[in-house]
Amino acid sequence: MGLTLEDLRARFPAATDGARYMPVMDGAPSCTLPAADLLEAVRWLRDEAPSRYRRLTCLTATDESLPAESEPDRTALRPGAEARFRVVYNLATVRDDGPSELLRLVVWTGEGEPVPSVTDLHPGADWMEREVFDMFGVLFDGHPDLKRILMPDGFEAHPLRKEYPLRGVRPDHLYREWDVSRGGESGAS
Amino acid sequence: MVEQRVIEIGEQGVSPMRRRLASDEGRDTLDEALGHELHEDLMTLNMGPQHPSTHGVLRLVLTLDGEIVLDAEPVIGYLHRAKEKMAEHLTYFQYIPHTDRLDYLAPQINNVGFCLAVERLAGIDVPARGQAIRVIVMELMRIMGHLIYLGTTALDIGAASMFFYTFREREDLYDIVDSITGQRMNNSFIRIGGVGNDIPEPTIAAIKDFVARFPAVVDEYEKLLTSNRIWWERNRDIGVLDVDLALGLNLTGPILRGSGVAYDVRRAAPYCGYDRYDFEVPVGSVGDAYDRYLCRVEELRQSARIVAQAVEQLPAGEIYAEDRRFVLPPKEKVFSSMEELIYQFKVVTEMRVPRGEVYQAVEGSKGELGFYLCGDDGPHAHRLHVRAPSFHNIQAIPWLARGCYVADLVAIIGSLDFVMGECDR
Repeated sequence: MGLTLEDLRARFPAATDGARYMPVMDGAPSCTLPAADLLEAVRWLRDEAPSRYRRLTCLTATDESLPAESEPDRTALRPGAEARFRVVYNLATVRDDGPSELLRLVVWTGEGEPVPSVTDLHPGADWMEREVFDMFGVLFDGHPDLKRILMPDGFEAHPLRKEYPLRGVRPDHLYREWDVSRGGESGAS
Repeated sequence: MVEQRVIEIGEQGVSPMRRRLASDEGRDTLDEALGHELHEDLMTLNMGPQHPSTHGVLRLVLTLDGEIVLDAEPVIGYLHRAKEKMAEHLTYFQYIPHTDRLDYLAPQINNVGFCLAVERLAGIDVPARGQAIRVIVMELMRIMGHLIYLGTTALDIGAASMFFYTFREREDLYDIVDSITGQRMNNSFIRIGGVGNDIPEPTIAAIKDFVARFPAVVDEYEKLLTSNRIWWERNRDIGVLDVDLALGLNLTGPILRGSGVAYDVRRAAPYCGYDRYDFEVPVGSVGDAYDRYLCRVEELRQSARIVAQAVEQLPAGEIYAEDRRFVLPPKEKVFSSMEELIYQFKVVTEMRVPRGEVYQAVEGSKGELGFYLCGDDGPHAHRLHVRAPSFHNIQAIPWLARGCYVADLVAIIGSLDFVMGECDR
């Protein structure tokens, strides 16, 4: 049998918070960790745990603030949220031709509070962390080259944040020259 | 298992420089050589976004010393269409056609992955016949995806005739898929809780005919490529990935299997009843572009095997789950019954998927395709993240390209088999 929450709890006492088995995921364990424990936990899970979680299969984040139309000041969080962003690490074991086990680690973080980068342990996390930075503005401490990946370099917003509108904001710089040539005010929207 | 190294060709075909570069000491030799005045001028070259061998709009910024690639930086995002943002504003049924546009070479696999994630959150069980039809369609899509890989990769390397051979079979498959789903591309055939419609009887015969003759066709492809001296020279020992690097870079699918790990989501976490079918997971031994080619060719045969079994054992019964909270009523009843019409309207506009989160992976034609979905007790998802295999495959390019020739880079790109619609989302 694979890793249990008791094993995790014995190794990382701070990980008990929010720890549970996920019924919709066939009982795979899930737990919340403080950012300070993240690197050691990922390393332990990869190298020493009863089941070796050698793949960081999916790293992403969610924005837990309430959408702008219901809460214009944008400081409110959804019920149950501990901070604005939830960085989610889906880890998986690899076994030749057999079932693989999943595990989810969650790290809460706020605006401008960096999360440690796991690129040293899983080189494949490089682009996933860049994407989370690009889309949410979450910072990763120790990332070799944290820059935008899907949006253009000059882009200013983080589009997967809840307050960012679906149709985007008007790209003023694209219209500026067109405006000026027609006597409009430069950059006016 | 893949029959490895079917022909033996002596070492004389490999240039000493190339062999040195592949080894650790090769790096030192390269460093030394770079100190020499002949190697002071490095060139930066833009490959793409319109280069034909980059299969879409991938741009690589290459740093070259003569013909040797010192570094390659992929620049992506040219095809970004905000698919994840849209999922937060569309209802679940409205979002299904958007998943077709991820890996548009095998769209039904994306449909199934998304629908499975929703079904997991909502607790819907698809009846056996619906699952079997999904498997048939998915495996036909996998064959279509691999045929594109074979045709275009061979074309990039110079074997132009291969392209016409693979597109001949792909056209047959399009006819079959067209008669099942009513569309050639971007079919949106899968529904939450089942599939759009049953497979018509004449199409079953056509599928049986196709899978019966397909293995011989794959033999024909292999005759053209597997023992082809040029193909072998261009792919052997190119882009070698060892197991640790492949796992660390989060590679899956035929690329990870080419490096010798028999990881296949259809085995590791079976869905749609894949555990009922008999098939093999081919693995390579060296992890080079040639092994990845061998794995994909064998997967063509295995997919045809799965389709043959699924058609043969096609269970009787419903293709749709009976759960009016989440599942569309059958079309013919919608047109004759007021209640069913109201159900249809309710399901499409305000289906409430319970709060919770799920990571559902399926085996796409490029690797593990994962949907991380957070439901919110409402008609829209709180968050949808697509774990796109192509995104990770492209990330591996710099690791494989350093130290190779520009011409070999084309073989490496081909062997990684990605599609930009899925990478940029």
